[in-house]
Amino acid sequence: MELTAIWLTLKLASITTLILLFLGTPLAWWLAHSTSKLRPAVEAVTAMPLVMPPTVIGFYLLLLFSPENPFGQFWLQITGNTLTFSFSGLVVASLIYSLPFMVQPLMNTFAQVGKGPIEVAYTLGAKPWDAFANVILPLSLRGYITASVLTFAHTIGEFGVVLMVGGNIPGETRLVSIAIYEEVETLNYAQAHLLSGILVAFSFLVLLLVYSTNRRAAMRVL
Amino acid sequence: MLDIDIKLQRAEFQLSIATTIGAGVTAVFGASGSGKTSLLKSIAGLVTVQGDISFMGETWHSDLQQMPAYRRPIGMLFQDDRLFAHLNVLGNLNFALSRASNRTLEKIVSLESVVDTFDLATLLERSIGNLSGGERRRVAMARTLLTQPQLLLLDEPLSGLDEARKREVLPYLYALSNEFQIPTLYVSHQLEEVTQLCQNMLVIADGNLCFHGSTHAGVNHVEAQLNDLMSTDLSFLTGNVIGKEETYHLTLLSVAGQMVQIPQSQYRDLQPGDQVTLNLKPSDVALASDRPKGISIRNVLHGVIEDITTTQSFADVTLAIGTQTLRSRITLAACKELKLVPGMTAYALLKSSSLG
Repeated sequence: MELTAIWLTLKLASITTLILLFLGTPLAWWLAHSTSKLRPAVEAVTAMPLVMPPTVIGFYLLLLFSPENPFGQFWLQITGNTLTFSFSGLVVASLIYSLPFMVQPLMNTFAQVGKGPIEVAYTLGAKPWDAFANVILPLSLRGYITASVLTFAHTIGEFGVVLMVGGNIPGETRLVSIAIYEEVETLNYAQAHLLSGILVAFSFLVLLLVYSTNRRAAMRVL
Repeated sequence: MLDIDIKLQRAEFQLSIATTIGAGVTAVFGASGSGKTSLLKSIAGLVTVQGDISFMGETWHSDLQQMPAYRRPIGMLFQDDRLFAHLNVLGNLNFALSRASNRTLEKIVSLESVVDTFDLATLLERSIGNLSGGERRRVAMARTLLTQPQLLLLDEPLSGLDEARKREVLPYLYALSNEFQIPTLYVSHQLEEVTQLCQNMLVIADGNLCFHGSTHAGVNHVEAQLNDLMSTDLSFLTGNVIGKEETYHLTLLSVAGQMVQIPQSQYRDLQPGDQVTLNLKPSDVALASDRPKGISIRNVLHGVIEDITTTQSFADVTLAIGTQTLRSRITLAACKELKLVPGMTAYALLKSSSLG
């Protein structure tokens, strides 16, 4: 029974991490190198999910996903489903609340690598994609590992936003954190212990991995 | 060959340069923060500028079209060699070689030739972290050449090296800018480097071009400006090579019709007709009122005293050697004893060890 929740949680975390790798890379690059006046504002917006109560994010997302809202309506029209209380809705929500965990370590790495290597790559005849893939990416590898692990772990641990926009539908939105909440509510402490123990062990292993590979990048976020 | 007419706004200054740069090695000389690196980066396409840049008739930059940096056939050597730390030496070299086709069809410089020129055979499998400062520069120079550049942009390639490393790197740098016959812009704020490596000279101050001509004339221009600022200024004498003396490894120069012997250069194979500029500290130049005999100093130039300025214990004597000037600092006591006065002929004694 709870295996479904564990599987669903891992699936959500994997999809979120994968999508954020693609969305976070250009955003982090821009934040690391832009001299635009907009940069501090964009950086602040990116970091907002770190400081806002999850219920606030969840509340606004719920409104945004509603079919009454243009965005929710648009989604309903092209997919035939609503975003509220669905797995897709959870993915969109996770992308938002896990964004800083991807962007900040990448931004720090890009700033540390600097513009030097990509300038050299251009003068050595590398086109932009070539320069990114063969110079920036390998030089930023540790930052990518940190960012991915933190994003994955944070997505697994989120509760408030998920409860607000996803509810508790087995196989669709019932993640491990929701399952634990329900087990406790129904006084089923044995199951709650088991799942909580798994999350405690998982969190410790993840942080151990991050701190042993790249201490500095992790500390900027946590 | 390289036509530039550009403007670039920077926080500290506005770079505004219009000139045409020809073949050979051209120094870009100026104080730190005068816009030298900005000029190089503009030519390389790494910063956005206003105006026009064209090379051998091909437009690299105009207000209508810009050729991306990766397509311009330039080889840029950065101040901090900027080798790729995730690749080994060979990986760094191959990075350049395999992408040369993005900008040029013919490959003139081969991997073998640069490995040979820069003595890299034993370094190829090394990781970048295990190279010395001098070795890093050599690898960076080799990598720059493998892009098959038609124009070299060297940004203070000797900066950050101590004297010993400089001596190690200088011969390779000379090979880079001269052996491969590629037009070169050489950014420096060291006059000695410029006189040793460059035939022509641009002088930039506060983003503006204030001189463009031969190194000899440029040095005089800079010297005239520096005169007011510094008292320990060097004199620059230019001469032409007239021959070699193999037994004692000397090169013979004619300076204003008078012969000067200098030790053969370790890094330049000078040929008759080549122009050489000597940098002389006033304290390395002694004076005599008659042509001296029986002394170890072999280089004696006669000239006319133009000016004498004295301090409490020293006299700075300016001597006209033909159309050139030479400064000597002697003690005030010696000046009085020799009865030196402007207008009289004096003999300048140059220590050969100062002529390297």
